[in-house]
Amino acid sequence: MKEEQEIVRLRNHFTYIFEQMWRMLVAFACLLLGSEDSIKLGMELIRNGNIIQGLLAMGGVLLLIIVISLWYVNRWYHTTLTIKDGTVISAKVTLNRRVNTMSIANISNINLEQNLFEMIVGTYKLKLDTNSLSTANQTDLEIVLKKKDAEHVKQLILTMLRELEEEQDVGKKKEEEPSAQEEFDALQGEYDITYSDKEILINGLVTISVSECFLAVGLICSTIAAGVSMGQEKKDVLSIISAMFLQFIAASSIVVDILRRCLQDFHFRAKRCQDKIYVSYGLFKKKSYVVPVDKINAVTLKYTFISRLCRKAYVKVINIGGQGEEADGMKLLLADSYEGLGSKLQMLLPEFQLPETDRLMRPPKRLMGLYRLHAFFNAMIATVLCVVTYPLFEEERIGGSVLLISGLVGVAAGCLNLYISYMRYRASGILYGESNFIISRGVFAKTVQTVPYGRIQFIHLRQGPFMRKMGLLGGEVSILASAASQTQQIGVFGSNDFERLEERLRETY
Amino acid sequence: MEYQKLNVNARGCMLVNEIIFALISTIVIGVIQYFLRGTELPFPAILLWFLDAVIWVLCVAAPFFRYNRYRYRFSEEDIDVKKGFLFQHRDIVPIERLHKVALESGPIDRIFGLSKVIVTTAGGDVVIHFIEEQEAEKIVDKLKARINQYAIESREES
Repeated sequence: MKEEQEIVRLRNHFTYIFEQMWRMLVAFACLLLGSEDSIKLGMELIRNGNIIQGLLAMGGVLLLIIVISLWYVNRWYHTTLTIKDGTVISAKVTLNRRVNTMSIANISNINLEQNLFEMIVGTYKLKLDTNSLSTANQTDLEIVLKKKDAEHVKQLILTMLRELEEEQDVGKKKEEEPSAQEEFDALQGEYDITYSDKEILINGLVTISVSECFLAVGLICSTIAAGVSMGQEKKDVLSIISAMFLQFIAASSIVVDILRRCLQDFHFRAKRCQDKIYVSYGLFKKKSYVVPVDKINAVTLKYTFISRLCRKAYVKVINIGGQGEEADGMKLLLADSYEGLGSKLQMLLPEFQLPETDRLMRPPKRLMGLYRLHAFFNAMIATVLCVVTYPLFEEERIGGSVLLISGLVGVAAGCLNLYISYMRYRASGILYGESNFIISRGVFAKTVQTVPYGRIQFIHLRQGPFMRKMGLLGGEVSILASAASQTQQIGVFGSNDFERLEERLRETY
Repeated sequence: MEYQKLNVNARGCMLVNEIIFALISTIVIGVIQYFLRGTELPFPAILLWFLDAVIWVLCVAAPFFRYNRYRYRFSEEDIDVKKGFLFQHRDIVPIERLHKVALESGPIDRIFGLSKVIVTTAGGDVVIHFIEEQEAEKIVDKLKARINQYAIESREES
C-alpha cells in the first residue's frame, strides 16, 4: 500500500450531534412550552438568583438536555475512522468503547447517503458493509462526513480495492460469468433429473411431519368419539352430522397439505451445467434457482418420521442467501431410496458423496446414563409442579390422593423424556470423512449433514457437571449460512471423540 | 503455544458484574413480593427469598471458579478459549476464518483496565472477555495483519 493511502482519526461532522438530537430537542421543547406554570416559576426563581432551583422547577428539562448534549458531544468526539495498512479501523464510544478492525479486502459495499438535513448542511452518510453474514442485517460502519471527505474516503477505498484486484489479475485469466440470457436458456433446456407424478405424490406422502400425523390421527379419533357420544346422548342426526363434518374438515387438512406439497413440487427437475446446479419446480407458483457449487456449505439428507419408516430420504443444500422460504436449505432432490439418491447426487453434485450411515460413530452407551438422569430430574420437577399447582384445581374436583396423582404425572413425564432421549440417542452419530464431517441427529425425524471441514467457521464445545463426571462432551459447528442453519448441533459424544475434529479442522488451514 | 490465565483484575471485574446481577435479582424479587402481598400463593412466599439467596451464593462463588477455569490461547493458527462455571465452554476459531476483530470495553471493564476481544467469522462471533487493555491491543494488532493477508488470499480464490 502506498503511504498516502492513509486517513487518520477522521471524525463525524459536527452536525451529527444536531442530527441525532433534533427529535429529542423538539420533544423537550414541546414539554417545556406545554407547562406554562413551571416556566413562570422557574423564570421567577432564576431572576431571584436561584438558578439550579429555577432549572429544576422547569421540570429539570434543561438539565436533561445539557446531559444528553454532552453525551452526544462525547460520542461525536470519540467516533473516528482510520484507514491504515489496508485496514479500516472505526472507534465508537457510547457507554461502551468499541474499536472495530476490518480488512479493506473484506469490504463488499460502500454507500453514500444523504437525507434532507444532510442535503441542507452539505454532508453525506458513508456506510461500509463487509461480506460477513453475522453482521448482514446491520451496517458495519456508518459515519457522517463533509461531502469532500466522504467522496475522498469512498474514492480511497475503491482505489485500494481496485489495486488489490489488479494485483490478483496479473497472470490470471478471469473466468467469464454467464450472462442472464445464458442462465435463462440453461433453465429452459433439458434436465438430467426429472420426477414422475407418482414420485411427486410419494414425496408428498412421505414428507409429512410427525406432528401433522399426530394431529390428523387425533382429530380422526376425536371425530369418531364425538359421533359415538352424541349417538349415546340420542341427539338429532343433523347436529351429529354437522359436528362430525366440522371435525372431519379439520382432519382433512393433512390431505390438503399433501396436495399442496405435490403442487408445489410439480414437475420438479434438476441438472448440472459446469459449476452450477439448475433446479425448477412448481405448478401454480413456479420456482427456478441456480446454485453455484462453490457456494454450497453443507448437504443435508433429511428423513421425516414417515420417510424413515419407508426407508426414503430427500436432499437439501445449504448455501448463502438461497434458502428463501425454507430456512433449513434449498431442495435439491425429492424423496427417494438411499441408492436412488446416491446415483442422482453423483450426477448433480459429485463433490459430495452420500454419507455412509452404517459407518457412523455412535455415542457412547454411558450417554444413556446421562439421559436417565435428565429423565429422573424432569420427573421430579413434574411431580413437584403437580403437587404445588394441585390446590389450583381443587374446584375441578380431581379425586384421588395428591401424592399419587403427582407421582403418576412425574412417572409419565419421566418415561416420555426417556423415550425421546432414546430416540435421540439412536439417531445420533458422527463420521470423520476424508474431506467432510458428517453429523447425524434427530428424534423421530432425522437429519444427516455433510459439512466440508474447510467450510467450518468455528467449533463450540460444552460440558456440564454430569457430562464431566461421565467423560462426555457436547458440541456444535458454525457454518456460513442463514441464521436457522448457522449452528449445526453435533450432539454428545465421548470427550476424546472431538479431538479428531480439531485435528481435521487444523489440517484445513 | 501455552494457554494463558487471566489477569487477577478479571476476578474483581467478574465479581462486580455478578453482584450487580444479584442486586437486580433481589430488587425484582422484592417488587414481585410487594405486588403479591396479600395474595394466596400455591407455594410458601419464603421460597422466593430462598431463590434469591441461591442466586447470591452462586453469584459470589461463580467468579472464583470462572477465573480459575478461564484460559485462552492465540496461536499462529487459531484462537482457543475455555471458560465457564457449572457449564464449561470451549471455542476454537481458525484465524484464517476471521473477517473482523473488535476491541470493546464497558464502564466496569475500564475500571479494572480490561477489554474484550470480539472476533467475527462468517458464521458468527466469539468473545474473549477480561483481557488486559494493552494485551488486547497487541492481540488485535497481530490479528489485523493476519486478517488482511487471508482476506486478500480469499479474494484471489474467489
